[in-house]
Amino acid sequence: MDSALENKVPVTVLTGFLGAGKTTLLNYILTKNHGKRIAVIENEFGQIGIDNDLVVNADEEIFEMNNGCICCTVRGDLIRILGNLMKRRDKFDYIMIETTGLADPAPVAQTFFVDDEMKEKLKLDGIVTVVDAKHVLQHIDTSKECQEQLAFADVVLLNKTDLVNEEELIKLESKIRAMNSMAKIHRSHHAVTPLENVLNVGGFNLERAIDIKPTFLEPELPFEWAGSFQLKKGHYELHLDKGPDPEMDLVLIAIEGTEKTSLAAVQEKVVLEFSNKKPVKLQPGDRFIPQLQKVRLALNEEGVSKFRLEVSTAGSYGLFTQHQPSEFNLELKWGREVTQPESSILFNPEHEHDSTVTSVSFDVPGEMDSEKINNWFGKLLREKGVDIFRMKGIMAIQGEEKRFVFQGVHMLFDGKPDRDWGSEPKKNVLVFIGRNLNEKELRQGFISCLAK
Amino acid sequence: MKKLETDISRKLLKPRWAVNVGNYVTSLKYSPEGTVLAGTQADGGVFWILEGSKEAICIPTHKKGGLCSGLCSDWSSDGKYFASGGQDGTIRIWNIGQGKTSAEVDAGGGWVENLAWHPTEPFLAASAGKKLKIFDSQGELIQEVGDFASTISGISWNKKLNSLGVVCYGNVRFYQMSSENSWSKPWKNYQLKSSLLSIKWAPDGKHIACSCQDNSVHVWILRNDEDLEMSGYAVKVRDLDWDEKSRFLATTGADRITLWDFSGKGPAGTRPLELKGHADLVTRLSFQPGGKLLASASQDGSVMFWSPFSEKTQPLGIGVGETEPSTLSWHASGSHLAAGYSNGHVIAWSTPQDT
Repeated sequence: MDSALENKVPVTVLTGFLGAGKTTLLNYILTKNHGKRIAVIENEFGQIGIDNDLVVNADEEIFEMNNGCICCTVRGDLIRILGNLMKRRDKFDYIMIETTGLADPAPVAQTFFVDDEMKEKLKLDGIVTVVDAKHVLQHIDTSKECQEQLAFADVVLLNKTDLVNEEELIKLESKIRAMNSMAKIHRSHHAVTPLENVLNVGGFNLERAIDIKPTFLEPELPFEWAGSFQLKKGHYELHLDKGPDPEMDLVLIAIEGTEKTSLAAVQEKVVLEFSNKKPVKLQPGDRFIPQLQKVRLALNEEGVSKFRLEVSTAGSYGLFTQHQPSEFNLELKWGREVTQPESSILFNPEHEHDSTVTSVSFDVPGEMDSEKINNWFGKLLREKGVDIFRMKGIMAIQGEEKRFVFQGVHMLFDGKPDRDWGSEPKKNVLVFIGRNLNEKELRQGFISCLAK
Repeated sequence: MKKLETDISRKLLKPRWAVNVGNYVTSLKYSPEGTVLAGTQADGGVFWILEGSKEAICIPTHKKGGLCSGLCSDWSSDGKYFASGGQDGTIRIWNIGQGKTSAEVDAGGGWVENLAWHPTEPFLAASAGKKLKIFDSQGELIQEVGDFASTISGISWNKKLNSLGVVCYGNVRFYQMSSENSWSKPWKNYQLKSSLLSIKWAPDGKHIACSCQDNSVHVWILRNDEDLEMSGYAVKVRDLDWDEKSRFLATTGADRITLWDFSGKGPAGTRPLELKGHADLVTRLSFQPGGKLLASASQDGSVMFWSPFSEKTQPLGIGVGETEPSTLSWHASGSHLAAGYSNGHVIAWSTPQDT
């Protein structure tokens, strides 16, 4: 690591609605004996109760540029204040910035990438969003500010957890996770959390750009369930009751064996087939055969819908269904006998659709064509940059020995070659957090940049 | 390369004198007569050095909390009063001769970031946050001027037009004092959806220049209200200055100085004169009073003297300090230039001969 980078003062940005517990957290951090001298830039409504020499007030002045580009929008007051503060560099070694409840985190984050003076002297460490576990549910679906604060976060501090029950907390966490798969979620009472949870989290650090827990990287699959069956040659019937959706998409194809691994082996190609916009549409009574073809079953409004499956070769088959079979009492019948799956996998259900802010992530093995990926990113950020709040990733570029790590805020893209791949299998990982993201389009676009 | 090094060493200047005032120098101003050099420091101190004494008097002043800094200062045109402003939100008016303040005023708007005395009268314009106020030499409020939507980033007087130019985000306004010390509405208001960071009025009153957040300089022509945009700077423009004849606008947003020539038809469509020599970002520019030289300060630790009127693109002399020079002030005679440094040093550099 070069010394210039090490000399930069880390900055943590604290966001969250009024009353969520930002000031309580700040006070907790400032009174904790951690040996750090933290300068605090408090918003105009801030009210740090304790006696701290290093508190400066700011009044959130958003500067837009003449060119109208949203990614150039910065916080003018921060540039002025931090510029002055850096003349007292010897007095502190960490900076925390508290924003007002309704603040958009983007201009704050962009300040550290757009302004050359800030970029040279400071490094944005992370955005910490404090939420009131009890009240956030009232805002999460409707408030743009609430969604953006969660979407931009590196850390979400779920505060006041004593006011809600475990079930509600789990629901809330999965909701936040669906919006922002990169953020680490910590629970707290009275905004008390270990300092390492909020300081030096390295959220914008390229070296740590890919420190994303693998479980978060489970792709959002278009199917919720897959099962393997040992089928005989002949006629089967697929029975479905009325369920939560008047239609059900599925793919049934031959696989190598009946183990879970056999299902996993065909998963990627089934994902691609699920994005097929022209499925074969079947009415009750229609027939279909096992093949790599998305089938859309239209279900009767009342009673059981029956579809005929013609199996010409006995063997192992995998059934991938859009929804969980249990929601439709799905049964695969050989005469009166119900054929049970040999093995099955329940995938993470696709994210709830009531929130327009989502995360999408891809993990694609192989190498990227540098020209294709450049063009794709260029076009994507030009056209969709407004909707992409944050992104992070790592790529293997064809012909390059080193991993390429990158991160971004809206249209700002920050990337560089990292260490050598060595013996590690080359792969490309990408996480987007944004509004109205079209996962399928993004995935296909990303995959189409793979080097042939 | 060797030749250049020899060349530079031949141009190296020796300090005329040097004083350590102890903390980052945030502003530095020679009195109009050149008898006192005074300024502010990042620890909130105000200091002055009597010319020839080689000793500084430092007084803790703008202190409130652990981070309070002095930010700006200026001398009244008659040299009787020195005003300082800081992060404590106060303005102090000093009687340096007696070594104490004659007035302390709460500016009422947060950090006092800009102070400027009227070029001939004992009126002090001061901005703190979104507030702009005019005081008399005793610190009595004459009037609060205007109504600004964002923090005032710069103020600049013009003697010829007897007016004050004020800049904030998106606006440049021009005020004039009417009869009976009353400040009326702005007589001109330019709008630009951009973050304007500083303001310098050409001495002839014909042009006003502002640096912008987006690595550009904006100049308005008061005669016809047209504007010019100079872009293409490597970084945010750190400083700009006009020479006394209002011919050159010197600007810096790179390791070089860019000079725009406003003589004749003006700079539109012309190539600016570039002065290269500094090894790092140039941060301060100041034209010699009554003379033709330009001084520059850079993050490379050096102060350089240039002669743009003779179109010499090489520096005439180079003064090298221990750390980054943070502010410059010429002695009224033009015979030497004082530079304040980030380590608290103040060094006076003799003006090299322009041969």
